[in-house]
Amino acid sequence: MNIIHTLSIKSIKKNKTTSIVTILGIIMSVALMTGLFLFSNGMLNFLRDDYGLRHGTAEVIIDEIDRSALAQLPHRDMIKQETTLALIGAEKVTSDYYVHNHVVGIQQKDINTTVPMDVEFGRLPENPGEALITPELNSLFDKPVEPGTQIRIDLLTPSSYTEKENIQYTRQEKELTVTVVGILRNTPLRYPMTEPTYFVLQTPEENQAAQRVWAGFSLKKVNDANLKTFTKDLPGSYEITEMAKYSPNVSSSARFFIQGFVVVLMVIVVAAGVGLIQNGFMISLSQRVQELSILSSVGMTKRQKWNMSLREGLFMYLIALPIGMVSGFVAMEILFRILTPMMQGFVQSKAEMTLVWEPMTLLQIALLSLLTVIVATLIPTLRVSRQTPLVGVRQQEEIKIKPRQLRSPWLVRKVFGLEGDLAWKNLRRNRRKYRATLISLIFSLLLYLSLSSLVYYMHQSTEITQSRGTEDMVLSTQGAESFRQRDSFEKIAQMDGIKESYCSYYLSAFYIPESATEGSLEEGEDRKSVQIISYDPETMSVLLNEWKLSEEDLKGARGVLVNHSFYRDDQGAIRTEKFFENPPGEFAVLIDDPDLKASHTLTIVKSLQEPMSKFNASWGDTPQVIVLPETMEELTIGMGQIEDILPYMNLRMIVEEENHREIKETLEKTIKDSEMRMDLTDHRGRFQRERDFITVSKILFFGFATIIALISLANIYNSLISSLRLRKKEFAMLRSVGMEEKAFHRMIRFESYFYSLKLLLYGIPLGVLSSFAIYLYLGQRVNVPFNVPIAHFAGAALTVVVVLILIMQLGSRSVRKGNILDALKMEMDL
Amino acid sequence: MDILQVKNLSKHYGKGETLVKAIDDVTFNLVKGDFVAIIGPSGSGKSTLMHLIGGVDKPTQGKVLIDGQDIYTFSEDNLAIFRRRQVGLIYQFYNLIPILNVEENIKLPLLLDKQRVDEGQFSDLVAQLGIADRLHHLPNQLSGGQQQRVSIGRALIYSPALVLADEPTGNLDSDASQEIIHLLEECNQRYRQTIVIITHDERIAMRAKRILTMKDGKIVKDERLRR
Repeated sequence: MNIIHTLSIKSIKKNKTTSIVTILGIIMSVALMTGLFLFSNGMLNFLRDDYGLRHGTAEVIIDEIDRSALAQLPHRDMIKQETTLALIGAEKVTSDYYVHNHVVGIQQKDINTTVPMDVEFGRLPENPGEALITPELNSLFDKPVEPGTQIRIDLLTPSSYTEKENIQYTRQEKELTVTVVGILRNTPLRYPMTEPTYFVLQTPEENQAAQRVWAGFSLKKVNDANLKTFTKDLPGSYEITEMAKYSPNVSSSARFFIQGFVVVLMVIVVAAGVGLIQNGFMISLSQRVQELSILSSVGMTKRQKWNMSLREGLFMYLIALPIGMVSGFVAMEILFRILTPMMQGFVQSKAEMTLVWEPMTLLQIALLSLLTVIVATLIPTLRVSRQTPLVGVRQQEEIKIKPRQLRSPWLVRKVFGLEGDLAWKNLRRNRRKYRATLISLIFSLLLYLSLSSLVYYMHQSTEITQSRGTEDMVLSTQGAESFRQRDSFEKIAQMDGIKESYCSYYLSAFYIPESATEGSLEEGEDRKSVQIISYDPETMSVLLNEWKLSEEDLKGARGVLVNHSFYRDDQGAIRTEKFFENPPGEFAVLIDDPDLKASHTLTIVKSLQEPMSKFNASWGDTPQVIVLPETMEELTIGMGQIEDILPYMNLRMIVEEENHREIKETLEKTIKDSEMRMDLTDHRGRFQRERDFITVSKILFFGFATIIALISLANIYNSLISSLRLRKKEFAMLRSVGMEEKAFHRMIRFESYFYSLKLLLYGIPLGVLSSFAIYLYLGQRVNVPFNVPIAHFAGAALTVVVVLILIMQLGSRSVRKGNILDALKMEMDL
Repeated sequence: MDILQVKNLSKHYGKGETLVKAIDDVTFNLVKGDFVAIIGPSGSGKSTLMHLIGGVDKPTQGKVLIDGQDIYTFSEDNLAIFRRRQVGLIYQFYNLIPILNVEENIKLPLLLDKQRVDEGQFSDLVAQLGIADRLHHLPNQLSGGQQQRVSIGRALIYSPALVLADEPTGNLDSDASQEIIHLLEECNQRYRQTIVIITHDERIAMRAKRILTMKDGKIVKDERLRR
């Protein structure tokens, strides 16, 4: 065997502890790199699958094109799959908000292959003439469409299906009758998002008869060049979809963002890896100074020394690479299994996070980790190659340290005694040796503290959002007609699983200050907002009891003024605001009516000097007047054209946690079956999704930080243990001159303290700075005051001290063992 | 024929008041097959002179010619190769590579040179050194005397022009010392190898053919012994 080879392998074996820790470090680095590659691929693939499930697999969509032009498309040879939606026609729309209702033809073969159809309720169309409609179209009918409803469509041909203005319509000779079988949740092939649309199942012949189509294409090979070529001469407007943008060989901002994020993390991993491996090598070499110089004295050339050192690195790399890769794959498989349900909940998707890799991925990881190892071994290798033969020949290392560098402050000796003095001097002596480990530890600490701050602000922003209302779900509706039927609205709260609930009703209004003149009122200058609020009878009764009033007291346009309100200041603190120094006895109220016609006078029977903490119907800087439901009904009568928009009705519910999903489904069914138009806001579901997102972030952030911390830990373990071993002879000397076990322990402990102190002196201020930077970036946006997560900082500081003490104690235990004389005789190479 | 020419060799440390002249303008020649002992008190510059001759240290001024080649004109790598082939170094503390076994330690200069080992020559050498049964032992499994034999084996395996021994018996007991000197004498006689030995022991010095006495970095006495 080649002697360089033999020397490399034997060196690895001899410096077993350092080699194992270094190999562990490389394994962790490779595993992290593998994990990051897989995470990036997995996330992009998840987003791609999610898009595919929502909108289909087309990479390019042409919005509107004649079928004849479609046949003439250039580069048809690049198309793998083509999907068309027949643009059958348009229907006049009843709302000013939309241009027209769209009527689109779909084919059986495309459903849930290239045209995904996610049915909110009802079923997929099975026979020609059956249709799914979008929620926007459903909202335009007087009452929600029941599955099975037949609708006759008076078909028009618009001059454009996608333009919003100046559209000419031609009446078609035929009428189309469709049977609605369900409501669609998604937008297949991104057919004009949020438009009222019928998706009608057609026979292939009917589909072919349509002159204009909406077309989607999947390309045989998706990359930047092909997309550019394919879309270059396309007629009309087209869109390159997210399906393409998330593909591996396409440049896009989404890819750039995710991969950029991964690259930043990768740089951190490489830096940590380089730090560890380099330090491991330095240690290994410092233990072999004599050996290397002997080799030099017997004729080993610089190149051979370079070769030997590099080979050592490569051997360790070859051992660590497969283990690291497999570990990365296993860890990501486990992580994806945990993350998938959370991600599905967060983005409301059925897509799954899976391991996506190609041989190229493995090659990239192998090359990147090889580069890491080579960079890491570079400096130690250079140092080895410069090793002169004299050091070994003379049997001693050149001591370059100057006495004044070892001078310790008198305070150290005074307070900590001789042991503290020795510990201090030793730290000073090993300053350069410990520098790499110190930097890597500070870096880990900083990373951990920064991530703690990031998670803190994310968490706080969610908490603030959640604190704005304690209810889990809110069912809302509006309109005078609904208000008249409020009994049935209130009864919804009686279903099983709802722990607490109350109904609140409010009218947005203006009050007229005494100083107002007719002219200033007409110009709107003196209008001040006020909210007229009422509750269901049961809640009203609780409140009246609390206020020591009876129902009689509020009858006849009388109300209670809530003269205070909560608001959040610039620092995010909750404060109260007072509206009137001298609350008025009467309110001249204008209901939110552009014509200022509906004027009423409310008499204030009581003024509350505290904001409503319970049953607070709304937040904001507006005074509230609480009235009986009958009073509110009177206020809404005779409103003419504004009747439909008044008042707002909310049923706020706190539900049993375990029945949340069930209750939500029941409420959704109730909404569907009810003649009243209602919306359900699921705060608990949203909070849960936000919490899931934070949990996902926590798992990713802290998982990453933990592995980086472990790499740093390996680094510091290597440094401290080897440093202690190299001082075995020195320790033996101290013992031989009478240092007892207790004093020795104390010296080691002081070293740990001083080292921790130095680390924290750099780490904590940097952590606070980084926390402040995160606050500037994130905290201010979500209105969270600047706060240092003290518990995390204290925890990190304590962990650092404990870990350092443990490693030092562990290391010192092994050097304390054995005979003093043996240790005194110890040579450098043993 | 002169195998070694040392011309006006000096090695100084420090400057001004702290200037130390470890070697001060030393000049001498050695002929092939010579067996020279360098003696002198501690700090007289013996080891420094040997390091300079062996090419492991560089002089402040002067030349060292081995076989007519000025070794300090070589590049660092060429000097390493020169050391490997032309100089055999033996140290007081053996300086063996602890992770290599006896056989590998002896063959090291040849292996570094990617040369084929003449197994016959190797067997003769280890037999002569008396360590044929220790070939697979690691240095720490050997006695001091045995380790020094391995060190001598390593110095001789390439049949160098010059063997430099820095107090090779300084760490050994009397019997082991005698054996080592006997081995060096045998090499000198059998292979006509030029040997320079640094020693404090006058009895050992007296076994050389020539004695150079050093003091304060200078050769103060050069005497050839008659046998």
